[in-house]
Amino acid sequence: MVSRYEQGVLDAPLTLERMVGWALCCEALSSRAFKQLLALAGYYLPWHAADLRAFDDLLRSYRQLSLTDQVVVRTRLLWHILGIETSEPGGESG
Amino acid sequence: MARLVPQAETTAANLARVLRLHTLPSTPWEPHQRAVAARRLLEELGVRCDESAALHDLKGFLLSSPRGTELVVSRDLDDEQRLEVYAHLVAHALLGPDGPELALAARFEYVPGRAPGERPANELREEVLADAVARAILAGRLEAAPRLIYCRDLGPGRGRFSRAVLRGLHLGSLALYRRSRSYQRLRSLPVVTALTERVHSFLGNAA
Repeated sequence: MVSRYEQGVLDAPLTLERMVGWALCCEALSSRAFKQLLALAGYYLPWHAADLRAFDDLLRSYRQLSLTDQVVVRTRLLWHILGIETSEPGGESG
Repeated sequence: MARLVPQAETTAANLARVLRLHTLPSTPWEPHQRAVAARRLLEELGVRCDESAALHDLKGFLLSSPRGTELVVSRDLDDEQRLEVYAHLVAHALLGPDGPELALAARFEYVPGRAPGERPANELREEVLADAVARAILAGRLEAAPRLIYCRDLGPGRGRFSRAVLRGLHLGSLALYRRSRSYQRLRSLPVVTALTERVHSFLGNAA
């Protein structure tokens, strides 16, 4: 999605929730890179090594789910990670 | 072993207590009433429950963070299945990994046959353990599981020696319970549960 922004294809603003939605879908993104990405956006995740390992496990399981399940889990993850309640399921991934 | 979710012991103990009340022959409850009672109890204990999710591979999932704990359950499940998912996820909540409490904890409950083919060995081991603990919760007899699963504090003990023996016995029981289905069945027998309770009160109570 970020590359589509770089190409000027998308008009929608690159919000934090869109970035998280994209990051969760990105196949090879590790929890460490995810934390760095959020830090670049000015959002600090107070996660330690054990948290990062557990989140890597979660990402692996998450990416093996069907798209339907991913949408539901992602919506809830947005709340737990960022405190964002999305009214529109799946709308955050842009 | 640490708990996965804050207050998991209280949640599991209360859920088992409610389900035990509902299995009394004098007041047999229908599955619907049991499922509603379980949900109400969980919500009273601060666990957010959502039974309206459209899920495909999952029967439900648990997420817990400083923002709270929530159980999301598929809308396609019947009352009995919903109750089983609640019990299973609460069992997982008791079975955290060794180490500090996690900032974000998650557990997925898969529809049979739709779990990923290659799951890590520790995940599969935890699944077997969660099965046994969930059975104990559903039967309203949490004490049918090793005490260290649902109560980390073993009490003051009669002295240093009896405390060490007690801890050794409980750790041995937990280790066996993790590895052997036969021991899980044996441990859930009322006579064995009563015996372990008696040994625990003998060694665990302060003199």
